[in-house]
Amino acid sequence: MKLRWSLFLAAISIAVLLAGGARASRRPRYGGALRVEIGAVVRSLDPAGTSPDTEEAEARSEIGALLYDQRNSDGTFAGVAGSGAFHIAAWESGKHLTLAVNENYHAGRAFLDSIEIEMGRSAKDRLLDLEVGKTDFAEIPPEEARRTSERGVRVSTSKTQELVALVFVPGRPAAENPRVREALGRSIDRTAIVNFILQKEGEPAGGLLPQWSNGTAFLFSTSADAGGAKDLWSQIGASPRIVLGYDSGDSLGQAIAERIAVNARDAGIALSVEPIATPAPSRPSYDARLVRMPMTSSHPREALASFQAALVPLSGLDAVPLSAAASSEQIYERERSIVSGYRVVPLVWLPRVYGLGARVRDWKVPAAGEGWPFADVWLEQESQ
Amino acid sequence: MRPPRRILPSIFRSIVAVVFFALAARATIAQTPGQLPHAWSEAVFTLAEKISAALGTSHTFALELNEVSTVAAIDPASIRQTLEDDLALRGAKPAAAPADAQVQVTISQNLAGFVLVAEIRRQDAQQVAVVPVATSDELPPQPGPEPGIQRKIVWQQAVPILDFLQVSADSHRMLLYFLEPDRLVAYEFDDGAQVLRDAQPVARRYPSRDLRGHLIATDAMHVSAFLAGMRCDASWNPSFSVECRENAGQQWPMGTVSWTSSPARNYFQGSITFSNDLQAKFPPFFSSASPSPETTGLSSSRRIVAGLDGQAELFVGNAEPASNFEGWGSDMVSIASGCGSAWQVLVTGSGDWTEKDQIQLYEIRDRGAAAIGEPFELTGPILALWAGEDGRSARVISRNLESGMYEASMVSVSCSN
Amino acid sequence: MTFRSRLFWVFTIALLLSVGVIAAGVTVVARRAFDELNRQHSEALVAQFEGEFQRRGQDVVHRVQGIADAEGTVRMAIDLSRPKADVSVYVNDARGVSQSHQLDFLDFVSTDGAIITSNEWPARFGYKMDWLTQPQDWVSVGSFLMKVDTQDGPALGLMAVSTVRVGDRDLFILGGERLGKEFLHSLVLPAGMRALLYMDLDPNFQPTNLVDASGSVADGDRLASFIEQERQQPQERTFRIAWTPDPASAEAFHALPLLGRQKELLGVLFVGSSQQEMVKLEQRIRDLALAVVAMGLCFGLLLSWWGAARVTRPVRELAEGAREVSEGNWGARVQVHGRQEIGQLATAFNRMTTQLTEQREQLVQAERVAAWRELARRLAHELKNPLFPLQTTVENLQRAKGQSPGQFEEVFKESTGILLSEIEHLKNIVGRFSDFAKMPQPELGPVNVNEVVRGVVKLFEAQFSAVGRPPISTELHLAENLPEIQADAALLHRAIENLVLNAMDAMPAGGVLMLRTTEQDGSVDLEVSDTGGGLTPEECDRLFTPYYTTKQHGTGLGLAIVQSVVSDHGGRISVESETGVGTSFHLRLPVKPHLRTASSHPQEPAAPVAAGQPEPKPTEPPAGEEA
Repeated sequence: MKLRWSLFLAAISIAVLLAGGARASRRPRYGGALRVEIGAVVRSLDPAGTSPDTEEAEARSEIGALLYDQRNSDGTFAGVAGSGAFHIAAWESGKHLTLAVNENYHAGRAFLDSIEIEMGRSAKDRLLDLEVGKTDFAEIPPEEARRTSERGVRVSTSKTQELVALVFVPGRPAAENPRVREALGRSIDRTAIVNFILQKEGEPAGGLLPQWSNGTAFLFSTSADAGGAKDLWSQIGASPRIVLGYDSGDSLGQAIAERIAVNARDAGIALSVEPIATPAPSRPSYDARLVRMPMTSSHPREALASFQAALVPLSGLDAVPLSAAASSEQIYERERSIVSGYRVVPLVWLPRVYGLGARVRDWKVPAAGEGWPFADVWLEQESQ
Repeated sequence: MRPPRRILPSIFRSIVAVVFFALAARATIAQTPGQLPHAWSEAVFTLAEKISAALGTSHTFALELNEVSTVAAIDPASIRQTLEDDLALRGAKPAAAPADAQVQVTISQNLAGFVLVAEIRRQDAQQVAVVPVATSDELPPQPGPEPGIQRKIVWQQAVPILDFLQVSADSHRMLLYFLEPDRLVAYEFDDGAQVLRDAQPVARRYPSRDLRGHLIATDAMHVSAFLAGMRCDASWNPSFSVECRENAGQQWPMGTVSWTSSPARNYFQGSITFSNDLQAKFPPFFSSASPSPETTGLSSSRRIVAGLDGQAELFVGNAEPASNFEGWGSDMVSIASGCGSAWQVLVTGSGDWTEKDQIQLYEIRDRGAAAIGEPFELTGPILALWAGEDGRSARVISRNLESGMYEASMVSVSCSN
Repeated sequence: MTFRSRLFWVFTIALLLSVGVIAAGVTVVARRAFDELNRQHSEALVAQFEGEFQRRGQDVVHRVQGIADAEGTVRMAIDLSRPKADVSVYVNDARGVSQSHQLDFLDFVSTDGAIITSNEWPARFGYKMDWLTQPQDWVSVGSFLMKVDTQDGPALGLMAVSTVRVGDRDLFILGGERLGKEFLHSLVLPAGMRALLYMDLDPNFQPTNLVDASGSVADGDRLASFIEQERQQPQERTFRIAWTPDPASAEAFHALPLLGRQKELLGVLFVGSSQQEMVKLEQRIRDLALAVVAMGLCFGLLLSWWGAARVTRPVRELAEGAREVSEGNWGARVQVHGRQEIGQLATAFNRMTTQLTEQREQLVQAERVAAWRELARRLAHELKNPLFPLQTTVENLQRAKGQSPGQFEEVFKESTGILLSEIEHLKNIVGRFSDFAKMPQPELGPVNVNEVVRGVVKLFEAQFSAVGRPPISTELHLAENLPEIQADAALLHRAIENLVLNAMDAMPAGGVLMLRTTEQDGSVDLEVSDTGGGLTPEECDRLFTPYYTTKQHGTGLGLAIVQSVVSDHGGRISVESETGVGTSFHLRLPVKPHLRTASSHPQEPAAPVAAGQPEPKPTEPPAGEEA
């Protein structure tokens, strides 16, 4: 016999009626302008435009999801700008964007009248503005989630949907030595990265997909093995010095890279860290780099395919196509084959963390690959 | 004293509704231990096929069953039994280590639903089999509508109350028992009329400034009171009488877990036996809560205990706490709110007795606790929180800081939409 | 070396030595004074460093204690004292706390030694500092030096530890300041001094770990060996380094080892004192010494000139007088200067030459008398022999006058014949003396000595083997290619003839006459030897004296003539003789004689030398010439 929600709701309704005095449900309210702050500096809203800045590309994608009605399977948008729930009302490149609601949107008018997007706001400024109520919505770094929450800001956290991985650069002498790769991979204490650097907002990653996606992440070991790493490193004749790069401006990447350097040092591995300029140099001076790869889909096969596509040029992995009907087993095996050579060393999965203003209602955390669901958000009327 | 005359009828109505709801829900999802739903049986059967193929010529295997899914509505023991049976049909026999092969089966969960993952280690070879549980015909766990906490005051008095109990004697009469530090009091409500039936002293062996007591009803005429080091059985035979005796072993009947009170103190000690025969001994705790298998589908081997250090710890199938929760009070109780199928717990606030207390509903998911809805504020500290007889409400004893009265109330959770 | 030079050098050396000793002494004293001053400065600076070190240490202790006493820290300690406390929430706290308390290093460490949060290395959370958990009274320890691991590598820190104890759990606060150039910058240094700090953070010497108040130190690797010494045995040391070949670049260092809690070497403080002032002083002393020496040299030069004037001129005059005396001017006189040693010497010299002149005159007079006596004796002897027959003959004539005329005639005839013969004899005697007196001046022309020798031998060949005489054999050893000499052939023939005659006379019983010619250093040597009875040394001494002869019938002029000829040819003659063996005459005739005329060198005789005598003894002038 199946458990039906209707039965539950009916029972609860009866109970409520019998008990009496039940609080009336709050219905959405129309109107208001949602103030949004983002860190990216979006210079073009062209959906086909490319940008070396990952943050700008992601922000453009989020905005595109509000402007366009349809989305292609590759993440691009179809139709014309303004066919979505909102259209562009004012646009100051790289600084400010105002979206106005489409009154006649076929899926129903959004509750908001408009969305004001301020660009180029640093994480610190966003947090401060959230705290003082100057903004209604801002994405905040995962490692700041707990502190932000402690300051009284509403925090909404998604499932883990971004992978941070260490990728060895093909062709570099240190990267071509399997023992070097394995020694470094085994020396990393992922749990400490999650607990301390990420302030427990995230999960240690041994595979490419989080546990909720394919259900097999637990099969990958995430524990550190400093002793094993030390033994491996001692077997390397001329121990090279590994240079680990991270994207300049990525404070989380820098913190993780520096922690990896500490772990490596504990295992006797000589490793130094250096920032990677944007755009990345054609001839890198680093042997490995940290990459942050957001999941473009909740589906494990699609997510793995996108990870693989991103990793092939970075790590020199063989591009093995993944069948559209790949089973969980096959997905797991593919994951295993990618990480087994230690060319790609998954580190942590990150959630997306959003700070919400006090008047924001009906905010639902978007799934991987989905845009901000601002069409369903409404603002509570502020008391006069 | 506020007369409870106008309060009790509404409570009665809600209790009736909740009982109705509980019976209906139990009928829909109750399972007999050892029997798996069809989808799970199919998955286990497929998994057995894969394991058997991977075992090859190995005839014995050591099976280990783990659970990384937090909301699997299946008793792992049933899966284990079914899997072992299926493998036995294929010629493989379970054995204690060392065996020809080690098989580790994990109940996992992915985006689509539950999956059974088997790691088969044979000599140096390792193989992984993943079998999804086809649950397309079953609703995945979904967050229910946002619930709200409701409180109905049943009684107020100046004398401290340790616990109270209301039972229906028949369709017209309801008996209300109050356990006070020194006596057990019985009231009768006959069509709304309140009558003090009787009050009998109870022996109190250990003095305490935080005395704890608990009432259990066998039926309307038979009630047992558990106090520090004592057990008092009350009955109407024909008059109301109480017989107290020392509670040897300090056993308190609370669910499936063996509790032992520390009579000179205000806390308990206890142990739990998990499905894998592992027994975990809890540290001293003030209160404990476990999910109802009937309403949540979860194994009763999960348990949260409120420790003396102000932290609540969640145990999931083994002796090591899976996670801990901060900011919780010292009393908690599981409650089946009906707002979703997740395990929900009512938890008191973390203030002291000089402050107003609150009750917060938490939903336990993925080894984490998420506060559901707004906390319910009371006029003073909560002194006792016990599960209602129906599992869908809770008995709350609190003290009104403004009036100084002790209040007995029923708390329930209703869905807001 | 002249006396003047010698005097100059003696004076100069004496001056150099004295000035050098004084300069060296002053330098040593000055250097010691500087060293003492440097030592005092170094000690003062070291004391200042230690004082500053202690003050900073106390400051660090106070600040770390302040952190420990802060409410936030106590709250943290209480929180962490709970079982299974979540330390991750504090992972970033150290940075803010360290900034507010102005500490370079700050670590919060849990009771098990695990780093909760670190300012200097934020990524190092979770790692253990087990040494902190050892039982220790950190209050009594106070501040201490420590090698601090930071994100940018090891650093040297002045650290302190404080604890917050809640229940049985400790929260350690480890904080401190970086010890580096900023610390050195805070030290007040006297002019010419500087402080360097080496942070012993790496297994091997790293120049970048050596800093002064302005940063890294140039040529810091020059200190590597001293740092290594400190590593081997930490103790205070002093040493000196010349940074460049210029001595003024030298710097004296005082090394102070900086030790950690376990007495391990963590750094070395070098207090450097520039030696420039001392080198300048030494330079001044040296310049002054050189000036003194230069002045001394000039003074010495003048003094030596004056000394020469006062001392060496009389000596030189004495030497000149002695030379004149040696040249035969026995009448030479020197001027007497003063009455000191030189004056007395000059007086003695003059007295000596006066006495020599007087003695020579007496000797010449004596010899002249002797010569005349000899001459008289010879003349008497020569003349007596014919006079006796003359007298007898005349007496016979007188006696014959009484005899018959025939007899008388016979006697007369015989007697006149005898008289004539004897008179002829007398004439010969007179003629020989006359010939010796009239020896001609040589007329030089090219002469082959060998030809002359052969001519002489041929002249006497008949006599060597005359009947009735013991034969004399001749041996000629004439050198081939003998150069011709400039000589008077007739005089040379006569001289050799005399020598041959002399040899024949020496060998009455016969013998061997040997003549040998050789060429020697631009001269032609002629040796004439006989195997006669030989001569005594006394005879040899007087052999060339005119009118001296060892023979019964000789005039004593033959060898005198030989000596005269040889002398006139600028040559020398000597004689070697051994009794019973024979006599050899050695003539040395220059190929190109530098003849002395009688007018120019009237008294220069030939220099016959008798073998066996230590020095050639000049022959006396022929008596005849003197006569």
